[in-house]
Amino acid sequence: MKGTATSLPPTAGFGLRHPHVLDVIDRPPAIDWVEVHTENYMVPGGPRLRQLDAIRERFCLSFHGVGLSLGSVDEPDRAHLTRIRDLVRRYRPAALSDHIAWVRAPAQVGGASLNDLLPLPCTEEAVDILARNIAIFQDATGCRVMVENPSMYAAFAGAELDHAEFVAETVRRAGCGLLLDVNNIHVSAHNLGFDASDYLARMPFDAVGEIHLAGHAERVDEQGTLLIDDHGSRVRDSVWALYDQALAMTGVVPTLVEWDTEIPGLEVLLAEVRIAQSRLDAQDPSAQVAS
Amino acid sequence: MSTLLEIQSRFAAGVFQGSEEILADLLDDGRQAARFAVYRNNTHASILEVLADAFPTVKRLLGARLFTRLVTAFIHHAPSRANHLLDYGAELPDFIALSEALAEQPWLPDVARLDWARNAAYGAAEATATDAGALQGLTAEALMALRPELIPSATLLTSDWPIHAIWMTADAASDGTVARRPEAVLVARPAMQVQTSLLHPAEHALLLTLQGGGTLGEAAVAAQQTDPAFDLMTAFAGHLSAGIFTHRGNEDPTAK
Repeated sequence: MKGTATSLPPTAGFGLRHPHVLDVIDRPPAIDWVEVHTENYMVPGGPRLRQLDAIRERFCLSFHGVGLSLGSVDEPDRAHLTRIRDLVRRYRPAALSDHIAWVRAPAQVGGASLNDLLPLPCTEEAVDILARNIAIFQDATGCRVMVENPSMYAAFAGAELDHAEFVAETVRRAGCGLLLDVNNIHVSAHNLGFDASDYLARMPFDAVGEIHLAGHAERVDEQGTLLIDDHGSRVRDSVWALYDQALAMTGVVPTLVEWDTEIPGLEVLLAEVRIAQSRLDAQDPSAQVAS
Repeated sequence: MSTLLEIQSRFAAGVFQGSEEILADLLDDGRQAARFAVYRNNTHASILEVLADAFPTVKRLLGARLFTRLVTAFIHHAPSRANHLLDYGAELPDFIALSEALAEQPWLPDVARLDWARNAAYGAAEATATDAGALQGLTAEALMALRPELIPSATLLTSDWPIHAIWMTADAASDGTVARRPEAVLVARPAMQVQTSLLHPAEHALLLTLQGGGTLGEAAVAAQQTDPAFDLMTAFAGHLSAGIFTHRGNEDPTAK
């Protein structure tokens, strides 16, 4: 599938969560686009869909999925794909994405949802399975989709590719776009002991259609510190620095601030969006990747 | 080298059953157990949050600690098979009913059914309500032959316990002194708000007959048998103007 993975405006937006929806409808902030979790709108009717209708009238939308389980050994659930496709038809999002992760246990052992974005081993087998499932995702929706690089707390033994290669090769083999999550790079690099700048430098920049920023937490025990990707605070300085490095390589890219736990008032979130926008504004427009 | 199938199977067993085989698949840095615990905790915390949102009254009655134990047992008994958890929890009321530990609060399964009906009503399919004006001018005979349907978000509940009163003031039951008293409840979302209404027994008989596909005439008979003094037409008109009836061919045009 050719073409860019996104028709989002090249500006900063934020992840719209339930506590802010009515506020945003009543007093629309001066931004161009918001992102929602696709699964939150997989209902037959009711206020959520009506509210999204109102949001869609004012903003461009990005649909960011957390439930397709693209890294599962099984093929993506057909009913889930149908629900995504129906939402895409109704709301015409400017971008559609999910994660390089798995969520559901294999059907062979019951297929239970673990309701979390789980890590994959960096193997050829896992790349092949991701590429197969992403192709099914793209065929079912008729969209060029993006997949997001993971945040990880543990790595598997027996890796055949390193973490950056694993992401780059998945995107290349699947022919999809990359949703570059800068916070995830920082968190994974710390937790798994690799160099964040080196990982970033080896991403496929021409495939990047969107960048994610978020806060993370530190969990300290006697064995050391684990960074937890909880999206529960302001973006850290280390992540802003990595974001600047990313922009130097991608040029201006639609950028999203996510905040999912301990969600603050809308003005706090919008202040983060303004910081991201000022860093986008500092980019030389001529450096933008041709699309 | 383990296959992805083996790794994902062992990972899920590690999260749900607490087995430790998965640790051997992780890179050995002496911290594998702490690393894996992050994933196990994430799954349990996120599912707990989903069910706490869906069952606020049950959580208030049990308290956070006991509710967490209930959810842990429920996840083991009936893990979600769907890719998202918006529909997860439908089996919790029956699971509570089977729990010996919760038998001291015999109203709890029905309270859970009320919570679940409210949760389901919020995202239920839409249908255009029958317009009261359209029924004016019908002869009594034609009116009684109608088969009004309940809108898709509507659920009728009955209990031997005062579940509506418990729902209104969830802490009133926490001292264990709930007097046995039957109640009937209608949960529905005629517009954007979920409504939870206490029903007179005859009103419940009326709506139950209509929900079963009966005519208004048949529903009137059922209501009269429950309570001959019941003011049927006032109750029907009230529900009609509240927008809880629809009829075939009146589905939401924006739905797929």
